[in-house]
Amino acid sequence: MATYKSVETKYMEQRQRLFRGLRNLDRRSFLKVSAAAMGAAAGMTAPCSFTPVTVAQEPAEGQEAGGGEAFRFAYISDSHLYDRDVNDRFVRGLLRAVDDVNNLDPQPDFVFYGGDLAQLGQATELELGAGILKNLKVPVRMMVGEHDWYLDMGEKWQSLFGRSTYSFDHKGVHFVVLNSVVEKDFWTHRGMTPMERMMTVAGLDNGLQSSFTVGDEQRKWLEQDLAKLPVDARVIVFSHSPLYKLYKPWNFWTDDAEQVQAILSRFDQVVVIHGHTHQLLTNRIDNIYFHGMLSTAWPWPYAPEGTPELTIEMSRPDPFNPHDGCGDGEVEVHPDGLVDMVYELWNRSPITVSAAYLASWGKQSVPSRPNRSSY
Amino acid sequence: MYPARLLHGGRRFAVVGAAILGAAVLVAGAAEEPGQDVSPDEHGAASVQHQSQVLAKLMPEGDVTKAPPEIDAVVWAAFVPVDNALTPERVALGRKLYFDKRLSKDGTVSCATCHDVTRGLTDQRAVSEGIAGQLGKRNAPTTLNVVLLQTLFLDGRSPSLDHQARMPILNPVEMGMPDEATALKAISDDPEYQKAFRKAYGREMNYEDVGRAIAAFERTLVFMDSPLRRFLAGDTEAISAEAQAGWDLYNGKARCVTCHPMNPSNPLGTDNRFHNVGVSARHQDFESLARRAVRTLQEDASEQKLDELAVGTDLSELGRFMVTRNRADTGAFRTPQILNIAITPPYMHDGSLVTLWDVMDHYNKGGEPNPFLDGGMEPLALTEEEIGQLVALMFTLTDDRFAEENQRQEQQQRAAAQKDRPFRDEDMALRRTLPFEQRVKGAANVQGESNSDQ
Repeated sequence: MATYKSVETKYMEQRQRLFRGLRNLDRRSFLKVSAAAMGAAAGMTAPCSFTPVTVAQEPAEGQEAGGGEAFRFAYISDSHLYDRDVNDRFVRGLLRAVDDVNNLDPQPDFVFYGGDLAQLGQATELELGAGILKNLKVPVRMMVGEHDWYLDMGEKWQSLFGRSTYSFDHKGVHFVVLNSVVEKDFWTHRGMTPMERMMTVAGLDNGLQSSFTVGDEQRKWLEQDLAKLPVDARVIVFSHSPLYKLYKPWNFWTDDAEQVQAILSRFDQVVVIHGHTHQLLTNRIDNIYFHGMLSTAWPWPYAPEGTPELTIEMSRPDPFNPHDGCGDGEVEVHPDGLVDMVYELWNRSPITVSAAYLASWGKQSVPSRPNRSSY
Repeated sequence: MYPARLLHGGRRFAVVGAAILGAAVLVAGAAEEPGQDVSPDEHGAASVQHQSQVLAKLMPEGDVTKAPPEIDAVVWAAFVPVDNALTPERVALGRKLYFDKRLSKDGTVSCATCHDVTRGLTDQRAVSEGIAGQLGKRNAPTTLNVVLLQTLFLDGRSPSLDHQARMPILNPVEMGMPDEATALKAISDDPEYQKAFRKAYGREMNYEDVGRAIAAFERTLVFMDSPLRRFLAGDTEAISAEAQAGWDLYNGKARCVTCHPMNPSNPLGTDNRFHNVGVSARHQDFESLARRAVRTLQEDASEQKLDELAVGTDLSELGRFMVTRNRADTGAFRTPQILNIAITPPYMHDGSLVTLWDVMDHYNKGGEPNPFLDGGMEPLALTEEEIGQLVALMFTLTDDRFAEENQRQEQQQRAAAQKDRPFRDEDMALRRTLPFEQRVKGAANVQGESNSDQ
């Protein structure tokens, strides 16, 4: 059972782990770690942030060159559009992201949209979003989020964008898009209206709703969809919620995450890219590499517990500038199927979380940390 | 022919009613000296002799080594560099340099050309004129109250006044000296300067001390004694009811205070930060400019080059981006101080807004939409009455010593605003139209529009 840990406690634990690790190192690894530590001291990190160097327990895997083609796609996520009379700031956020992507030179192969296009699933909100995304010069692939779904159980969204669970192949990479926000029926026996249901799902820290799942049906579909692929296939999975368990009260959580991970476990490596958390979030569980996407609407603070160790926490946003902490980004897909995740923060310098960083369990290519403290 | 007319040479604006001019009595230095040459020079600035006399009346001799009464002593001390403490000798030397046209290549431009004592310590032109009639790309900020600025130039590319003062002398569009040595040589034969530099800094003349001395003088240009200041100190009669309503709006609905905070430790009304409020978005494609800037700066990113690009080329419009090369700073400029704002028109980094009514219209519609627009910019839904109240407030921010010029500006700007309000857009201010809607409606509508244009 995870318990709340203060910033100071986390800091001390990381230091202790570092020093424990240092004692166990042979000379060669020691040099590597000290070099990284010196890099950190040379200005890659603020003195008050967490120690950037941790000695991972697992050995770094030998990275295979891989035979596939490298390419790049862009992402936009979590725009949470409201009706025009309620809020137009988020609309401007999405437009800015569209402009960002349209100005990429060279253009990405496609744009992936990470879900929560609408705030309350209303037809007007979804149509507004669809209209804006039409301005993109390259094709867009859509994923659904809970804010798009729970007013009419996905009816409008699917009429605009098609199925919410699908797969496609691009330049030798197999992409899978899941609807990971399936909840057990909590509304019928309570006699909720569709809007009450929507509002409940849109809220945080409430005990009413159940947790997100991928569900039996989709897991079965996923298994079949992946069945033909060899173990060294390049696979990238998109899910709105992270496909692991981070923080339940905010639904930074997928209840059947372990079962989905089990399906993915037979591959050499799999990349999972998710929305929902509105922040720079990085994790690796065995062969699965997880990356969170930024939101164009607002940044969430980091959850009080559960933030994975590989995560480079982004700075606390400037409360004056509602764009701070928001952004979009690019995904550079390597020949071996792993990705460099580029976070284009609108008010800050971009941050790249590279494949090498995750592949080495945080030992190599440590992204430069923001020079302001996290939450 | 009377004071204000003489102060301004009647050059840029038509003279308003003689009654107003006659009624203004507060300004110092306004009285005409018999036989004095008050005609503007070839760049439109008041003559050096005239400016010096006006300044002498505005600022009688005082103890420059102590904080002026308007600024908290601790704050003031923090802003004066330790290696350039204010002494009468340094200030006097800086004052001489400030007015010295020999520091320019063709001997026609001094600091006072674009920071004219008779024009609110700026030139009241959209962009400034340097040697050989060349126009720069930016509006000259006032040198009033610069002691409290945290960075200098509108893009903050200079960290201190001592550093900033050295730059325009070497800028090809401004004073055009090819290098520091040539600039120094222009004055180094003057025995008066040799003596003054030794007295001020205890060493031989050098270029860095030129900057220090000018900065020392500029740090004495403290003009903060405004009606609003007295109102905030408790004198409820100091400003009109209209301006008082404007002060409420300033801190509330109009959101001015978010970027223009005013408090005892920071009385200027600037957050010293950089914001894209969309001024140049009307006529710029930021993306292609930025790409060009990055290429140019890859070849040469020296401070000299940066200065040249910022003042002399269209890359100027990128603002803070040129300094940081961070996308987030594209088109962003430092929030200017708002003290004495009424007497330093025209407004914005390119001088594109002529009156304070235009400024209000610009902010009321939420600025000019562009991808880098600061997140804090929102349509304000201000009524005409509220705009009038805010403008009234801005005319209470002028130091009393400039009261006559303040009044003249009010008349002049009001007349101009009554004729034309080119940036007024009620539909946008009231969110009847949203800037993005045209794009959102999709290609069909855009097509329809371009067809009707043809």
